[in-house]
Amino acid sequence: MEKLPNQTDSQDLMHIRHTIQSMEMPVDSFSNKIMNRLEEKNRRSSKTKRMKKTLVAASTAAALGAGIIGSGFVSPAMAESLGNIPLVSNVFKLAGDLGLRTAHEKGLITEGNQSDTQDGITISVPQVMYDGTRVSMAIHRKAPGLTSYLNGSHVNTDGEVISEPEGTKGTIRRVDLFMNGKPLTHLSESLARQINVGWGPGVDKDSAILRFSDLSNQGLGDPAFPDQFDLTMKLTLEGVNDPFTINVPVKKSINNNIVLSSGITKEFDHIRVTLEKAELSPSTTRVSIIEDGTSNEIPKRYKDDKTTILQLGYDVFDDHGTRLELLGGQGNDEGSKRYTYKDYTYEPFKVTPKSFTIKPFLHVYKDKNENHGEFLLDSNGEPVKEYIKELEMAIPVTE
Amino acid sequence: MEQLNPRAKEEDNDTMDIEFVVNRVKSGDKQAYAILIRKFEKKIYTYCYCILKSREEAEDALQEIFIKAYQDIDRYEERETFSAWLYKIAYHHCLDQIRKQSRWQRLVSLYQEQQTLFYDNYNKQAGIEQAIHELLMPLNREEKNILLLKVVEQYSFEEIGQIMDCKSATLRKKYERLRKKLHQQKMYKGGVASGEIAKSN
Repeated sequence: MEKLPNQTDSQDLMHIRHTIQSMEMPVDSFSNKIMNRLEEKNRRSSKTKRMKKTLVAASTAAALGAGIIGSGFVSPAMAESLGNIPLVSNVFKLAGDLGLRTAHEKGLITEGNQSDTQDGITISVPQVMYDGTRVSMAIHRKAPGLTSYLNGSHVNTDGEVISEPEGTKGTIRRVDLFMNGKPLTHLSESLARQINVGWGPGVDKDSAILRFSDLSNQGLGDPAFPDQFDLTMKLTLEGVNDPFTINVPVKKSINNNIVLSSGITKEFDHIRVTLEKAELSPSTTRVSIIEDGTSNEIPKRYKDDKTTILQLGYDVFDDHGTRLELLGGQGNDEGSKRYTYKDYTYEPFKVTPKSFTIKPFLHVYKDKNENHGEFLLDSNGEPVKEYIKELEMAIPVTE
Repeated sequence: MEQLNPRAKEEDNDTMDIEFVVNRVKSGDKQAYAILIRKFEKKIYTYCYCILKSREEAEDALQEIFIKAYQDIDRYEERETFSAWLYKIAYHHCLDQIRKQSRWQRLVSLYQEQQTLFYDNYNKQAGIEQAIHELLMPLNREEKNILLLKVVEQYSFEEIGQIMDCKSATLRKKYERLRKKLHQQKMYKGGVASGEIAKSN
């Protein structure tokens, strides 16, 4: 017999209630933390205003896909051909994106042995790569008996992404970075100037790769990272009370990046996109775009009302039409003119091209009348993209 | 003077006399506040997570809210329950945070939600976060609040009105509309789900 609408509804409501209430906190209690903070303050102290982050690392599905190349599954044949080299020192070679694997072959990686131990678990940073566009760090965890994947997920042999349940012990919960003692991440005072760290899978459950870039392309006057600096990393794992503190010296491994500041601009549909800067290293392609989405006449499919931020993504193709995999990105719209600065890192060109093309696109959604929601997928299960030809930019590479 | 044990297990939530503990805190027993934190933190954390859509932000917000509540505890006058008073602080704090979030971040939050949905096509493990995402995604901020306060916390419309600074009659209407919306959403999803299953066969 059909359920009466009222009956179904209140069952649904109970289900909603139950679902939301089954959310767990990441720790047993925040009581100690809060009480400690109250100790530090006096009753009459000023309120701490937590300014919000305005920069978020935006990794697309493609980026996650890129990080998954070569990870999670090392065949016995592969392991054999590497001889008896411990896997720890081969995270980049086996699990990194194309750029990291290239960097390894070209000897552009700094090896290290700094580590910290908490609760019987040891975290170390065996490899660092810094090529002027991004810093990538291999993280290794030695934790007898832990079966969780350090980065929080893995790809099974069917190619499916399996995530660890939230709060699984031994997975990365939080990364804090300090450069020469100054905090780079999680800044409470500054609206825009904090680094966002992303992490992806390593070669097995005990390794992961961290990645971040500087804010020099965010239009706010931040400097690029220096060629050499000391980084202190505080890594917090789920289920471990104290963070792991590790000092990581970072050194730029190469000095022959190709830097292009063409200023090429395209206009269409009342939108203006400009290539602010492109930087080509043997391990990374970094593309920084300035979008002017301020016009009121921009069609709805590009953006919602009352925002100047456009929903455009950017693909990069070499001069043979091969698309580069996106690794990550960050953005900001806090500048005075309300332009949006989008800063993306992609895998490197296999060979320095004579020119490359940047193709802006919009995602196509299942509901074609909306500009958000579920992506429409093609027969390969990839999101369908609508490339905006009029905004394409062909960039000649001049060394 | 008797020291209340902050680690006392609350066997029965109903018999814990919150107002008694609050009065202890007001009279200077700082450690008693730890009892209040443990009593309400999970609810507040979940509430903040649902509104702010990020565990990290929920963590930050939770601490700020409890700190503010402690600092303002003298202003609590038992005109409403302590829990409703605490939710009022949480409601306004989250409102402030959302306003401060740049439009970029709001866009990316939306984008990341889409990513999560996209990956769910491949990811057989549902997860609580995923379920909550899907549940709350069709709702706007106001609707989320009404849903959380009415359905999860089961406050009366009068109490919700005090928390959200809104007339209870207005809330009642919005709640009815919200239920219809969820019902329709469920019908649509049911259709989509069976369509997808058919395709995979």
